[in-house]
Amino acid sequence: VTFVARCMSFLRGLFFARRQDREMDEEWRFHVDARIEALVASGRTRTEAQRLAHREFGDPLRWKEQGREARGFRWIQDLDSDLRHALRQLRHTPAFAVVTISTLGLVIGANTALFSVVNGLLLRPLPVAEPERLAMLSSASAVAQRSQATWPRPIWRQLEEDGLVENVLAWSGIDRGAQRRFDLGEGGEAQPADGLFVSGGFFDALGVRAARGRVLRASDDDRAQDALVGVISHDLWQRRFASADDIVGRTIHVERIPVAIVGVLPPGFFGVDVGRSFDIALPFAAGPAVLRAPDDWIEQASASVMLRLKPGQSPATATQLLRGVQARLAAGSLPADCAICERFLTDPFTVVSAGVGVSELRAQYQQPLITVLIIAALVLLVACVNIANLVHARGLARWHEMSVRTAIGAPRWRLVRVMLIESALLAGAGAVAGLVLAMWLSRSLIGHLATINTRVVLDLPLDWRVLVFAIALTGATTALFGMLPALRTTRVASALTLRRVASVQPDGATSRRAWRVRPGDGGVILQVALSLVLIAAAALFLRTFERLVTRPLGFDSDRVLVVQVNAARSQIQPAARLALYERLVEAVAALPGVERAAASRITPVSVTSMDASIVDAPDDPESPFQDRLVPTNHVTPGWFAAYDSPFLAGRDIDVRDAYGAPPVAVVNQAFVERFVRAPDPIGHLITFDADLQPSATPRTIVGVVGNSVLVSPAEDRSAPLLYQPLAQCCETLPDRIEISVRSTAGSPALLARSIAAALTAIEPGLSFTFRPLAAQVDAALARNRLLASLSGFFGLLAMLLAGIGLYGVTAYRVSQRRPEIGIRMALGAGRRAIVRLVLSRAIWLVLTGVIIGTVASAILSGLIDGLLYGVTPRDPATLASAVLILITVATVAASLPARRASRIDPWTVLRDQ
Amino acid sequence: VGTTTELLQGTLDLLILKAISLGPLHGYGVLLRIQQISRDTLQIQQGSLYPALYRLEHQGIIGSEWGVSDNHRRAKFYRLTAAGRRRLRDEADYWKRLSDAIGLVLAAAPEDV
Repeated sequence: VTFVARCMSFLRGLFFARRQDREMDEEWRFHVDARIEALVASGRTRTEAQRLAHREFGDPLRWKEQGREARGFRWIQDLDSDLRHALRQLRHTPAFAVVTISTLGLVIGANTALFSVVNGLLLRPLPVAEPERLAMLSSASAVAQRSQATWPRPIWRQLEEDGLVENVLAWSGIDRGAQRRFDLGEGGEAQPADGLFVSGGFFDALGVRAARGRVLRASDDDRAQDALVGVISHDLWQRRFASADDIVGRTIHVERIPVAIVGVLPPGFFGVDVGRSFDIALPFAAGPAVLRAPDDWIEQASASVMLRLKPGQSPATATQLLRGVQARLAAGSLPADCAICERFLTDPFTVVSAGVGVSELRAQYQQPLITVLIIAALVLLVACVNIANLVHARGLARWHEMSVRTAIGAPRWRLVRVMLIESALLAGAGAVAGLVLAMWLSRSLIGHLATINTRVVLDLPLDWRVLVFAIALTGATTALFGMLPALRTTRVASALTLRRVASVQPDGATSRRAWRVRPGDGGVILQVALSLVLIAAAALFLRTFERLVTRPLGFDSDRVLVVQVNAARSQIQPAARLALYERLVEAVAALPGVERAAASRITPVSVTSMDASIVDAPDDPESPFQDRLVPTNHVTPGWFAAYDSPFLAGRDIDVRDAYGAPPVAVVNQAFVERFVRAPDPIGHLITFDADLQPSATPRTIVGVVGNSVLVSPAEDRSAPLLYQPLAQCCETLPDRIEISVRSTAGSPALLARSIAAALTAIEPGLSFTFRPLAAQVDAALARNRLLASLSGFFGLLAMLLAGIGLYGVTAYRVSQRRPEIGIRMALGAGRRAIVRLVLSRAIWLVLTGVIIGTVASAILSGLIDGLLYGVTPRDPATLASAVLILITVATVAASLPARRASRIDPWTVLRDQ
Repeated sequence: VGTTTELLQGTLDLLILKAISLGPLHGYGVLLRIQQISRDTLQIQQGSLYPALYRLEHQGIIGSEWGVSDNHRRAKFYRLTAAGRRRLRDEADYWKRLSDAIGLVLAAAPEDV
């Protein structure tokens, strides 16, 4: 009871302080008046009675003070006055306030921005019902390789029927990356949109309700459906349909196929793939029609599968349950028509918690982002040291005021509090500036994650995690830069009594020995050490990037333009596609400025999915099929010449290798080493796994090319590759093809217009996109570029801050030692000697910091090993260059005050003394 | 006016509790009541009554409400709460034991030792 009463009383005091003051006055007036009346009644004169009554009552101010204290809210009023005091102080020194707030704003902003991206990508649960019960169906090998597993429909349908988990939901992007997007146009210009195929129960299982109409349901995914239906995103509804009220029931054309819109999804729902988004979702059953794929596409399409676990079910128990089912399925209870299912049943099911969704982007950027976040936090520390120096210097400038306050009885904690409040005000203002900056920065950071191949859609709400982070950061900063100077300066103030202030220097700078540690030195050493760590990290990332950029790709990317041709909507029959593609290549090759042109299924670096062959390994026929999976491309004659990759042996594919002619192949060096092992690979017959690829006919090797990059310049280049003639690819060619065009000279992008004209002249129904190969190589290095530029920026910032810090501390020491320096000069010390005197001290600090930083860097750099390429984490040359840069900057920073010290006029100084 | 006695530290609270245990009083009334029941032997600095009242109120031992005094002016009246009654009983017991003990000690004749 008493505790509650106290709290209530306290709150009353807090909110009704003024009213309580008024009530106290009224109460006391009543008291004094009553006393006066009593005294008058006992025979005093009124004037006398008044005087007496007031004297008996005592000093109302004193009672009021005690009364407030009794109610436990006096500190609030003290706080109020301290706050006003601090604000007044800051107004008196606007330059200090501006420098501090902008420095803090920058570092807090950078940290918050990075955190909000980390939050959006790694921490934020999916915006669906009960995300904690969601889990991915993965496999043991996929978990081991940190990749995503996909499953054919018969398997996940079977799991759905078994009902061991609450729901099974499957989805598949129409293609990973941007190469394949749906065209929503009804003719004319293409209107690209991101699409998703989903199982019928997808939205219900996630607990997502439609904003308009309904979501898809199980019956929509029934193959017997004749009318195609789909749901669209809230964004597409606003963008394309201007939020039309009658949206439900309207028709949208997906790849020229009419689809009835049955609903609009709620705003902010991006699916379960964090970092991606979609505009339209169709049931798998719509796949064959929209993709113009054979009917068994539905069974074969590889889908990502998510499970909603039953309440209380853990991923581990679900794994056990499902592995039991897997054994039964493997024993033959699957429908007989699922030829491809078998190999999915040998890899044990593994259920992985997925409350935060799945994301390729996450896998790619998790480590880089956390690394940069740590780097930014270290920069914050460096900045805090600088601000602490400033606050300390300011505190000393106010030591007279502090001494006076101490002398008239202010307790030390009160002085500390005044300074801390000032720091908190600065940090608070910095945090507000930082949050504004962060909102802008994080968005531009997201922009840098996207490349020409991948669009990134990431929701970055200012949610509680980001706010807690910003507030915690602000609190920590205040403590870091406010606490130490506050304690230090008030100690000085308390130590000096008013009488002695005139003759004693604050902060007692009396020692002349350079190696004596003084307050403030620790800060400089810390700054130098941290900057060294950051510069070394930046140097490592920059070197990695440089190595990757200059690494030979195995082909020449500068003069190649990749044209993706989409024939899905042309009137050409599928059987006539080969002839069409050949005519297109011929037409492009004949254009002026074109040196070579050739077509292929895929082009290097932008590869997101491709065919693979399962090759027989003569020396180890029993090795698992994953080890014998060889990426396979299909090319037309002249393709290797377009990429300027020379033949090591044999010949290129040519017109003789037509459909029906003896099957041939070109392989790379790695293929020869892995699968051929004969002295002369030309003429060697490649055979394919009879069980898994029964339809693949053996092929004769006619040529060998060098190894080259397939996906990323950073990849291991010893992977075998197989090239087959496009003409011998398959009965019907796919409706998309890539034409690689090599320009005779100059930028290949300039050819785009004439190529477009030539292609349209042959077949008006085509649509195409142009991507210079060099831009794609750039895109493949986006992660490394981001790391190099961010760490470089933060490294420079840290070095700048450390330089400013060293400059400030040295200049401060010089100002304190003015008398001493003056006397030395009067006694005959030369300018050089003075410069040496000042510099030696600074250099001693820097060297200490450099040693600590070198050790720290050597220890910490092991952590970023995985992000480096072509440079070891403890590369001595890199570390040495970082040390050199830092020492140069430090010397410049310290020599400015040193030179100023050498220009001190001894007579002025001696006169001042 | 007879001889007066300075208040012992901490006894003011007890006096206030006792005074208002006989019925709700305003601050001036508390003063009068204490003077009356102690027959003017206890001297209190009048203003110091109020911080003590506020402290007791903050502790939830007494409650207060605004009312009308005998001379028809607005005044704040204090009364005991349940917790206050308990406290008064405890403190009174304590004082009684203490004063009995001290009385015994002081009354002791040399032959009793």
